[in-house]
Amino acid sequence: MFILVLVVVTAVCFDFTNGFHDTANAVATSIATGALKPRVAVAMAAVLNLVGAFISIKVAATIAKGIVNPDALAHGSGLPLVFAALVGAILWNLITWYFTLPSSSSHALIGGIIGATIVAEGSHDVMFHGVLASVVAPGILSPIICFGVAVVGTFFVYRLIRMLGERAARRGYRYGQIGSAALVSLAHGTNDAQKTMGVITLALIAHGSISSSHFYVPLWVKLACACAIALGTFIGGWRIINTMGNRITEIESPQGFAAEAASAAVILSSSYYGYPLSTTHVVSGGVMGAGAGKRLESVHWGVFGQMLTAWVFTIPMAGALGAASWEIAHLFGTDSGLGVAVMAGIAAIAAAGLFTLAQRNKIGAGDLDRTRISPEQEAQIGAPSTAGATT
Amino acid sequence: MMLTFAAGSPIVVWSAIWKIVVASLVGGAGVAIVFGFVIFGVERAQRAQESGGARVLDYSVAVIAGAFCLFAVAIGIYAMTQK
Repeated sequence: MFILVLVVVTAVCFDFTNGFHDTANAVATSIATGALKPRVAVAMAAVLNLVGAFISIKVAATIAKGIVNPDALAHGSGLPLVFAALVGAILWNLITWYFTLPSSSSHALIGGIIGATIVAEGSHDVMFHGVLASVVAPGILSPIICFGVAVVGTFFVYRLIRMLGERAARRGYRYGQIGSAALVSLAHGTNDAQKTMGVITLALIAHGSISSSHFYVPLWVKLACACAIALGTFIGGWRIINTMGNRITEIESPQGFAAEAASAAVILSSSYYGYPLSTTHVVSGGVMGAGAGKRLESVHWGVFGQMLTAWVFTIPMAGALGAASWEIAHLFGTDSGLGVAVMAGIAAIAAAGLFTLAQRNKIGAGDLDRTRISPEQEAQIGAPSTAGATT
Repeated sequence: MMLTFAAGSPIVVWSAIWKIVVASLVGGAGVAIVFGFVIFGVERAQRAQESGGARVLDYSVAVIAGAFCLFAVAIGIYAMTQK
């Protein structure tokens, strides 16, 4: 029971990191264009993530069933395995957060599960076909689709703006961005909170509280995950919001609206088919598409290269961290819970170290607030120039 | 057409991907463009009001375009509840 409690607490911590790591997905462009104040944006995103977490559990079911053989978790190593997977995912989330890179929390989680399963049970219990079909393929295709949709949307929007006049268009699309950011936040809640629900349900299956043949998500799991992701979102991952909103490309309000509308459409239509896609990949594709749709050279391809590297390494690195976590826990003994407790302590120290390091070049809500800039001023000064915009 | 794994079952079901692409183009790019007509209609109506001209047609454009955007949002929320 001690190990189960520790696993659930770790899963809730992962959901919290997912919230602040991925807040940028929903609100970064709205903050960058001055459509919303940073604090108001994250508060709105937090509430809608909370609501979104209760809407459906199909993605949760996909996480639990599609990656590893659920029967393998019925062994004694099941709970430490889920714990190690979560530690791997949390550490990778914090590492990418420290380096201000918007990588996928979902892929980190899946990488952690795969790595821990391989060292604990062997590679035969990893459903590689499920990983390719449900994770890798949507992970590659979804940002490409969103990029294309955002390019088309932005291209025609700017043709329309010639008829509208810049001032009216910028003001109008700023209002529109409030609605589009709200929809992306809601969609994010339906996707990402459910992934942690799926993992806690995996732990309950491993503990024997739930039968592997009758998958369902208990209400307390839904409540815990919804609250954790909402709280994490409200804290606000300003470092990644800055990258997503300011460093990928120079975003104006019509582009922000086009990026968010494309992202919401891709996330919702893909999720409808039960694909647990990465909202980070989709929104990044949308932001780049919105930049390229106006002017191809406006996309900072160097920043995109850094992000792409992080995306490629997310599953293997989170897997390696998950595998290492399992080995360390196993070294001290997983049956008594001592190994899990020791690994929890090591993970907490590592997390505290990364937070301390991040304070050296801290980015806060005040650094990103552009609401004082009117649409007329925005037209004159052009691109935002917030921290690190040219790096 | 499908990209298949050794076991024979598909990794990428292109028929589903095309549905996603079409839905995303209509719901994503379409809404961004149509929302421009909301702004366009309201802006022209306000200008007409200032100059004492007729503004029913401009408001009608804005209302129809706005209804399309709201309909797309409603479809999106419905999709969330049905997945």
